[in-house]
Amino acid sequence: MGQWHQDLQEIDVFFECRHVTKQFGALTAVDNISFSLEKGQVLGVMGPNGAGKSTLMNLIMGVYPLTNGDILFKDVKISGQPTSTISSLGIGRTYQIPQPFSTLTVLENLLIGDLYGGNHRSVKAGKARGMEILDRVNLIQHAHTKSGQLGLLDLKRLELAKALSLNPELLLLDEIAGGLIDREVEELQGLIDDLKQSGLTLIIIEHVLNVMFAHSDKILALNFGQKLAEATPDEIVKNEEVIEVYLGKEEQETRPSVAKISSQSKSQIEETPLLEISSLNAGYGDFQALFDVSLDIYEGEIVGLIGLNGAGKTTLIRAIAKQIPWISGEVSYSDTSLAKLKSHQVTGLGIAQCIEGRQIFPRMTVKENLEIGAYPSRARQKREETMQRVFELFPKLQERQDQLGGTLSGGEQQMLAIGRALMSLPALIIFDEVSLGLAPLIIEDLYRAIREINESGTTVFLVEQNVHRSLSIADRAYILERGRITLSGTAVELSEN
Amino acid sequence: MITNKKGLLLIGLLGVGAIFLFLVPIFASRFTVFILYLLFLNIVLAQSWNLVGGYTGLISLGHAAFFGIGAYSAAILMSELQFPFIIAVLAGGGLAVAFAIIIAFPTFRFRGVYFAIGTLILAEALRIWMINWEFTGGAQGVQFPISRIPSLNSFYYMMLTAAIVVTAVVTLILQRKLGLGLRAIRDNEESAQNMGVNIFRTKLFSFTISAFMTGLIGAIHATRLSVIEPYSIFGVNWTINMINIVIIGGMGTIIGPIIGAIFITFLGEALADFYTVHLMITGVIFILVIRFMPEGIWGWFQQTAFAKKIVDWFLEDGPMASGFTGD
Repeated sequence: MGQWHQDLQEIDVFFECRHVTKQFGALTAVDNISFSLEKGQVLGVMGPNGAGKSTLMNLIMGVYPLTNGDILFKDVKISGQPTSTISSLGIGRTYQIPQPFSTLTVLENLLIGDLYGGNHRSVKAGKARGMEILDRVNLIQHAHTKSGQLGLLDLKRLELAKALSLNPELLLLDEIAGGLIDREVEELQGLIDDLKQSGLTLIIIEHVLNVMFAHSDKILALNFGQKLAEATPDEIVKNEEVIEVYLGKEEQETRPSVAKISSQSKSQIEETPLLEISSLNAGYGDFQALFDVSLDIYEGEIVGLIGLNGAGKTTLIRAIAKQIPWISGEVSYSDTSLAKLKSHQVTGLGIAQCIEGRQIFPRMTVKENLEIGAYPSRARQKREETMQRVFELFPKLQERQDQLGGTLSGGEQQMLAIGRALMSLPALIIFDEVSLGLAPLIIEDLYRAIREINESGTTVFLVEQNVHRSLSIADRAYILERGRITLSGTAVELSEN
Repeated sequence: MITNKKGLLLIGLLGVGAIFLFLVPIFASRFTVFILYLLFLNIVLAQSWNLVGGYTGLISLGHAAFFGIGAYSAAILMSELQFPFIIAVLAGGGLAVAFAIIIAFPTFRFRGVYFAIGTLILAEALRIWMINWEFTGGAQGVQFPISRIPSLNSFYYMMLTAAIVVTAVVTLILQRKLGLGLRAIRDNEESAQNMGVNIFRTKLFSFTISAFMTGLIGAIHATRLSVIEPYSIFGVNWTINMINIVIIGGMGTIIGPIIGAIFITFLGEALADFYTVHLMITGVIFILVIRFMPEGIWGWFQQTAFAKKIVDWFLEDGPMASGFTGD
C-alpha cells in the first residue's frame, strides 16, 4: 500500500475511536466511546473490573466486530479488518495473562512477530533484531529457553518483547504490572519510559495506578462501558466521580481492626492446630522449592502467607493438596496425616482451594459452576442452602446465575471461584492471590467477603504477595522467602517490622 | 551453511545410509525390498500427517480421503485416459489438494475435537459416495492397465526418494517462516493472530502441502496394488495408521515418524500371520506408549542421559548450537 509514501505525507488522524459501541446480546460492554490520540502520546485507561477496558482493547485489535462506530489508525479505517492485518499495520498488544507460544523458544516467539508482522525480514535478520529486543527487556539470557518454562516476570517481559517484535507504532499494554512486586514494577516502569522516549504511542490499562499516572499524558476513565471522564492525570485524581467509582467512598486504611485484636490470642487458646506443617521439603523433580517449612493454622484463624513471585507460595499449596510429591516432612490436618492421602482425598477432608488465575469452568453457567463445587457428599445435601449463602455474600452472582462463567468480568470470576470453594462446605479455605489483577474497589469487596467467611466459622489461609493487604486482615502471618519461612508472628508484630 | 567437522560427519552418516538403501535391491530378496517399500510408504504418510497434526495442531481424521483421491485419480487417468504414470501420480496429488482446499472452508472454523470429527465425517461421506459412484466403478473399483505398472524395484526407488524428499521438505518448512507460523498457531491461535499471522492462510498451506504428499503417495501405492476399490483405499484405517505411527514415534518431531514407522512396519510383518492378535498387540503398545512415553519413543529418548550426551557432543559449536538454523 506504499507505506513509505504515507509516512511522507501529513497524517491527519494517528489514532481515533469514533462512537465505538459493542453489545453482547442485551449487555452493552462498550457504549459510545470516542477519543483520539496523537503520535507519541500515552493514554491511560482506568475503570473497575467489568468497565469494558479489555473489550475496548479487543475491539481495537479486531477480535470482535463493532456493533457501531469506527476505529481509525493513520488515516485508515481498521475496524472490520482481521486481527492479523491490524497487527501488521503496526499495532502491538500485550495480554494481562501472558500468552506465550509455550513450545517455542523465547527467540522464536519474537521471530513470529518479525516475520509475520509486515517487516518481512529474513530469519537471520529477524534473529538479530530479536536479540536486540531481548536485550532491551532484559530477557537475553533466556533467548533459547522454551517460553513455557519462564516465570511470571519473564513472561511479562516476553509479552512486551513479542509486541515490540512487530515493530509497532501503537502499543496496547494490558495490566503489564499486574501480579508483580514493587521492584519488578519499577523495572517495567523504566521500560515503559524507554518506549515513550523512542516515540511510541501507548495505550495503558493498569490497576497499579501510580504506574499509569506517571506515564500518561491523558487518562480515559470508564464505568459500565461508558466514558466517565477524559482528562490529564492531575485532573483525574481530583474528579469526585472517578474516585467514587474506582476507589470507593471510604479510605481503605481507616478500616477498624477490632476483629483482629480479639482473635489475636486464639492461637494460644487452641491446643492442636487445624493444619500443622512440620519441616516440609518438596519440589519438582530435581528442583527443590520448599525447605524445612513449618507452619500452624488454628481453627477460626486467618493466617497469611506472604512472599514474592517464585518464593514457593503456590508450591506450598500444591504440596498441601498433594498435587506434588513431598521429599520429607509432615502435614497433618486435625491430627490426620496427609502423607498417605491422594489429592482428591485431601479435598474430601474439608480443605478447599481458591486458586490463582480463577480457574472456573468457562462454558458452564454460574449456577452449574457452583453446583460442581458441592461435590463431596456431605456438601451435596446442603447444596441449595449453601448456594443461598454464597448469593448473599455475592449478590452479583445471583444476578448472573444463568450466565456462562467465561462471560463474567475478572472480578466476578474471582467471586465465582470463591463461591465455588465455599460450596464444598470447607473447614479450611486456602486463597491463592485472590486480588491478582483486580481493581481496588473489587479487592475491598473480596476482602470483606473473606472476613465474613471467616466470621461464620471457616478457617482461612490467605496467600498473598501484597504485605499490607494481607496484614490488614490476617491474625498471624508467615513470610516465605526462597522456599524458607523467614519470619512469622501476629499481624501487629509483623506490621511493625 | 554447515562448515564444521561434526556437521559434516552427520551429513556423511546420513549420506552413507541413503546410498546403502539405494543399493539394497541389488542384493536383497524381493521380500526385503517389499518390506522396505512399506516402511518408506509409512514414513511419508506419517511425515505428512505430522505436519498437520503434530506441528499445526490440526488433528485431521480425514487423511484417508487424500490418499483415496490420489489413488483413484491415478487409476482413472491411467486406465481410461491413457495418461503416463508420472503425470497421473502428480495429478493425484493435485486433486487431493483441490479437495483439501474445498474442505478447509467448512472445517477450519472448528478447533480441536470438532475439527477432527468434521474431517472424519467428510472423509467417510466421500468413501460412501465412491462406493455408489458408477463412473469410478462403484464398489467394484478400478483396475490399472497391467502392462504399464512399473516393477517392484521402481516402486522401491520411488518410495525411498519420496521418504527422503518429504522428510527434507518438512525439515525445511520448519526452519522457515511458515514452520514458525504453524507452531505458533498450535501453541496459541489468538496470540498468533495478534502477531500478524494469517491463521486461515497458514493452516491452509500446511493442510494442502500435507494433502499433496498424501495424495501423491496414494497414487503410487494404488498403482502398485494394481486393483483398487473404495472400501479399503478410502478406509479410515489409513488415517489411524498415520496417527498411530506419529504418536508412537513422537508427535511434532521429525525423527518421531521415522521411528514410529520402523516400529509399526516391522511389528506388522512379524505378526502378519496373526491378524487379530496383531491389532490387539498394536493397541496395547499404543496405550502403553501414551501412558509411559506421552511424547513418544523419540520424545522419551531425548530425555535420556545417553541422548543428552550425544546432543552435547554435537552442540560444541556443532550444527545445532544455534538452535534455530536456517535462513
